[in-house]
Amino acid sequence: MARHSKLQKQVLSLYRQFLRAAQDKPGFIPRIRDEFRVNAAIKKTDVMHIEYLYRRGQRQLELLKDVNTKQLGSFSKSKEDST
Amino acid sequence: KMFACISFTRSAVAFRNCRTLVLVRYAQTAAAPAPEPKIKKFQIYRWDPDTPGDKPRMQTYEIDLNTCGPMVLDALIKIKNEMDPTLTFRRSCREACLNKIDTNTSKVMKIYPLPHMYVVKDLVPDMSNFYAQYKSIEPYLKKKDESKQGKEQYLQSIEDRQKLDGLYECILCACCSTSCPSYWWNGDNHLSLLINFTIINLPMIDSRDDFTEERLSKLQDPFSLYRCHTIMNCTKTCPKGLNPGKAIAEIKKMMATYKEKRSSAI
Repeated sequence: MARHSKLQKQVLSLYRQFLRAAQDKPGFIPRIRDEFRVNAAIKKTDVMHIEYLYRRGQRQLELLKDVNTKQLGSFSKSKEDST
Repeated sequence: KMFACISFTRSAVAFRNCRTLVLVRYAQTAAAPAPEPKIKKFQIYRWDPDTPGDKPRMQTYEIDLNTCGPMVLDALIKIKNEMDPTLTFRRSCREACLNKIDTNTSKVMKIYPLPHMYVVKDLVPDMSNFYAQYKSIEPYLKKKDESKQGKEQYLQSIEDRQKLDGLYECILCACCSTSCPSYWWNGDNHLSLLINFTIINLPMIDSRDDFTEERLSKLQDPFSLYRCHTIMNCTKTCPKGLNPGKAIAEIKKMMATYKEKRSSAI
């Protein structure tokens, strides 16, 4: 089985850091999973895009780790509202 | 009287009397012929990482200089308003604001984001490293005796205040750091390059701050201050005309005397 490349290992460690940081704070984990799942579809050769997302992820991880961040929520549009 | 005013240049419009002002303006617009459109080409760096598969590219825009203000920022705002609303840039870009558009229409004007910085989108660079370094030098006054804080002003002599004169005008535009080749190669080092903060390192020079020795000792390692090889790109690019290179030299001098004191104390 082919080994992970350096970049893949970095992305995986970022994912692990995210999950560990989000354990105590409600609402983050489904969002993290969705984001990583969607971006998993990017081609392995598109290194620039991957690196850009990796840097963005690191910045967001800093925000998450910050003591003042408590939880994450989101609004969703229900069918009755859109008339 | 009205005809006499036509022959004046636009400075005639600045006359105090409102009525003659309006009359002069009507006369000018009636008399002057329609100016020829002066089209200037702008090549702007574009990259949108949110659209998949997009590569960084240069996009050309044409602007008629007669309908646009004199500064580069005016041109960018005009492009964003009228031609391409997806163009992204930070509005606080005083650097672009300071450069007048070269009215030579045969030359193309190229606009790039700050060099050697990661790009978030179009002309917006990622400044978080820069801000983290700024935070690390603790750019505020620190006193040994905090009890008098807030009661009255800290006084300072006129000579001491004059020492701050080339330093406080800094607008934190990051032009100096990003134009320095030494910063390009060492900017994100662990003991990172504090060099262009020497100009913001006001507290070190300010006589009201008590922690000068501690600040100097923080710069003691081989990276923070001594990566400066007096390339002087910083002074050349500063949009406010300040001299970061000189400020670094002053701090190097301060470091030399501080080292002497330390070695004589030991």
